[in-house]
Amino acid sequence: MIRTTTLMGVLLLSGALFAQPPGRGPRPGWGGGPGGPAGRFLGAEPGMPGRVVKNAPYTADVVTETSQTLADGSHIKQTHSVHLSRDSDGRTRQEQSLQNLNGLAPNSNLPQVVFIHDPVAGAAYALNVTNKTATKSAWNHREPPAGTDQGQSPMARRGPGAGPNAQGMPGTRRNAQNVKTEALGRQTIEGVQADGSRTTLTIPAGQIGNEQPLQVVTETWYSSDLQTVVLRKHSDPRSGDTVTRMMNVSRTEPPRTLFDVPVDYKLTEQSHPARAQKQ
Amino acid sequence: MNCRGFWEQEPGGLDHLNVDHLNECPACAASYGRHGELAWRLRVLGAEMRHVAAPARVEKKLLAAFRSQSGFAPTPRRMGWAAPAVWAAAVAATVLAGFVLFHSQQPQPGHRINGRKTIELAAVNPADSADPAAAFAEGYEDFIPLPNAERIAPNEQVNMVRVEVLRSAMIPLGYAVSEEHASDTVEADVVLGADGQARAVRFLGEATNF
Repeated sequence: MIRTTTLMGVLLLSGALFAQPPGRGPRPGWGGGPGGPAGRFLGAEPGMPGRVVKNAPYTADVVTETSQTLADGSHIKQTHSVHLSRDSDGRTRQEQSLQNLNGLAPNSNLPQVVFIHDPVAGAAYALNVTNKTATKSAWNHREPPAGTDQGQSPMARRGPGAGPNAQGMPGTRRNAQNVKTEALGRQTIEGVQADGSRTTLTIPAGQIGNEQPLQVVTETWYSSDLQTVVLRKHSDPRSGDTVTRMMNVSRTEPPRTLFDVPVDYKLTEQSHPARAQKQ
Repeated sequence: MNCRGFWEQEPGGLDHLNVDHLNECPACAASYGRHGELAWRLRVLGAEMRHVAAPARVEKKLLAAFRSQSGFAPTPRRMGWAAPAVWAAAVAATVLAGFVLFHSQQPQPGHRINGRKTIELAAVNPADSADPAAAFAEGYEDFIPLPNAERIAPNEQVNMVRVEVLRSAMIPLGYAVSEEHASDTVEADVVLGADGQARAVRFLGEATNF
């Protein structure tokens, strides 16, 4: 009877869960912010944390350059950078500008934001540097399923041997004959030893309506010391080239204060992760 | 393998299907993606509601209503067959409600230029095109991947910003936006990847009703 009761409860409550009424405007804690004619900042919130890496502190700039060549021969080039910090206890800080949000908000003046994930305190923060506000959320970490590699960050997972067909999605079968992975040896990148690998995915002619075979090439250089990728090159004839590289790498312990909310910031607690709410 | 053959494979759940067919059949790929998301939502729902019990009076009324509508007379518990029947009916109703509610969350079909767009964009990595259900990390299934952005990997550290953008920003994502509404604004949640890049977006409220 208890199980039946529970089931009935699920039935009743599922409607309320799924049928959240739509709403507009920023939620409490998001606050307003600056912007431009094509985009206005309403708030920021830390999302799902990644794998906690301890005893591998560093600070670095991660610069991503993308380039596309259009059919008329012209180019689209964009550069985006993030300043990352990680301490020995696994706290992380990500400081970045929002720029145009990958084309969603062109010509906008979105603010600088900072995201702090603190697994030690069990909290995560999003800081709006412009108006000195911060949103605190519970550090809601989910352990990856046993036997999978999902406990690693995407950068970490793209280490040697990883590739389009080696990303460990459970329960799927991939067509492996079109994927080739080769080791590129070891080299020093930005003062860090890194092991390289190149994965080439060939899409045979006709598979997606393509007249000629297509090659998607991903090259990664993974640092075991930092437990992350320090250089990644991705080339896809359909979408262009992307190069993500770490620069200005320092392996000294970052100041503890980097992972705290400055005292002059107005702090608001966020009770529910934004990803669970669609208002 | 044709469509029928794909769906009539040996039962064992979605995770055990041979997905080669999805490479060549967008319709099945889309359906497979929806099934995967629904299954995941129901699992999450079940986990979240594990400790929830309806009040006794609610259960009593529900059972009474069920019996009156189904023609079943109240049965002594010791007979033992009514409970499985109620259980089966409740499971069926839950699954049905899940389907209905799931589909009610989707953008209106007429507002998308191409219903396959989400899956195609999600599978930035061509090898992942065979696995639309895995195109997004858990918890971000209702987001639309941005063009040329990498997918959100499982367990990737991500963050989110909420912004107000012009409706015209929805056009590259496959939405049909009329000229008169192009300069209207719409609120959106944008997921930032571990590299700080905007990866995916979802539009809020009545954003898709225009």
